[in-house]
Amino acid sequence: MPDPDGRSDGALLRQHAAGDRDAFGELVRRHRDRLWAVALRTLGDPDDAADGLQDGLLNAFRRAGSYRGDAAVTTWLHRIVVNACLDRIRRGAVRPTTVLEDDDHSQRLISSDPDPADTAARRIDVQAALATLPADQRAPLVLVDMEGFSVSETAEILGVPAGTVKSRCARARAKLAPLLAASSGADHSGEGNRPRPGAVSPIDPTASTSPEGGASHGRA
Amino acid sequence: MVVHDDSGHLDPVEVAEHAEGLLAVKRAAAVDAHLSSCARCQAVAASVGAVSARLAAEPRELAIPAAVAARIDAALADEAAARAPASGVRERRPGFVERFLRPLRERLPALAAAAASIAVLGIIGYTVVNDGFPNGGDDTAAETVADAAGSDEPDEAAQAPMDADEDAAEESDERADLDLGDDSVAAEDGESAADDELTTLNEQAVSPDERSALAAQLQDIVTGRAAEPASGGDGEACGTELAESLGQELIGAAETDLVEPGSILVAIGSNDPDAVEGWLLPGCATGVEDALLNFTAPRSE
Repeated sequence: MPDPDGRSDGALLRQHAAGDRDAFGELVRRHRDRLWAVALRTLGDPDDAADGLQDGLLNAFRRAGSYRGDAAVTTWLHRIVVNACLDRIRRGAVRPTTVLEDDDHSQRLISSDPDPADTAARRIDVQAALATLPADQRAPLVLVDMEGFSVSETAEILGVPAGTVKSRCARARAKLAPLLAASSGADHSGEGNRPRPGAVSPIDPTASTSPEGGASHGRA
Repeated sequence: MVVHDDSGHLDPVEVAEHAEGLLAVKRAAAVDAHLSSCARCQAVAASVGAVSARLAAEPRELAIPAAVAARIDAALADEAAARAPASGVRERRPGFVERFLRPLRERLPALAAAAASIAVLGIIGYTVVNDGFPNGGDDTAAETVADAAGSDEPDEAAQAPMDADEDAAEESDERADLDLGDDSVAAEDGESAADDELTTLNEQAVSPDERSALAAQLQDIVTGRAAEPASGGDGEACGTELAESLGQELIGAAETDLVEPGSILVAIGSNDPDAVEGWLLPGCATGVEDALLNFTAPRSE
């Protein structure tokens, strides 16, 4: 997708691989807010997320030459960053989940922007619920339901079959259903489980590429 | 009636799987039948669907905290600085030597000039692994070798077994592979995965016979013929850390007594899909810093 400076993601990656000193930085600037969201949601802890994102971006920097153009650059970048995050979990390098006990810290770190209290509370609910999932269910659920990747894109990012993505998402949703239903009822009386379009993007008006965000499998 | 447990209701997981179309036709029909008459399970189905809606209502992007962005920018700037050497070679992608030895130099200053440039450039040559981009730095790789060799005049070079013995080099293919001049030619020719070019680290001496044996053992690992996959005391596969730090796929590892008794030969992916990298480590969980040698060989199945 060409950006304001006219260079596509793929062109930036090739220019980086060919020695352009600015290309990779531009690529990072384009995608880092979404990659940050993925890292934070996958790892739960902001410090871990920072480590995971940095690991991933350094790997991507070094591996630009391995990009073959057979996947979107976005997918390729997410694959490297998500794997870096999951590697941290596998190696036991992540901190114990503390979201529930540490709301202030998490709220402050989850976003540097001023945050309407209600939205922040909702976000903590979601993060706390995600923290109850095993990592192999959390990652696909985040990618499909929160980041708008299709099942097949998610399968590519995670390196597992599409059926596995669906199955892990299903188990994750079954587990989260009582948690999110309860928190919705308690914290947002009257709203029930309905999505709240108005709360979608107060954080960063430029952020979402699908502002209404309702379709979980919209990008086939 | 389709029931999950003593309660007489469906398993919420199965309800969620049904929503994903994962159930076999017959089972899906039975679940539908139950749902049509069970308010409680209908509520479960609704709450499962609400999870996706609730998650999708969150923004896809979150503004990265300024401190995290700054930290990552700094890390990338360090990487970029390492990538672009201060010497005469400018504006090109990292070659083989840069990718592996520059991090080594940064992490191990004591090792830096001596072991890295001398052992590597003095004893053996290398061929740049072609990353698949036509405008890469292959044609400058030979210059890199020349520059580095010139700037770090190796005292120990005189000890290098292959040094400047052109007659001997011509007599033996293996020795010819090790000759600096020969590999420079190979790099200029743009070969992507030269035949098991080998880089010694930490001043290891490697005989031609050991080279051949290492290459053979690497192939065994790649093709799955290695006797026993090596893993550490914690059960983690050997080389996991190394592969992760290099951002490559871990293909396998095996114990070996070649070069160094009790060492671990690790096979990992290369930036060149037709090649595989072999790393000899002194221990199961050791990383790039401790590697005894590394080489690249064609990947054959």
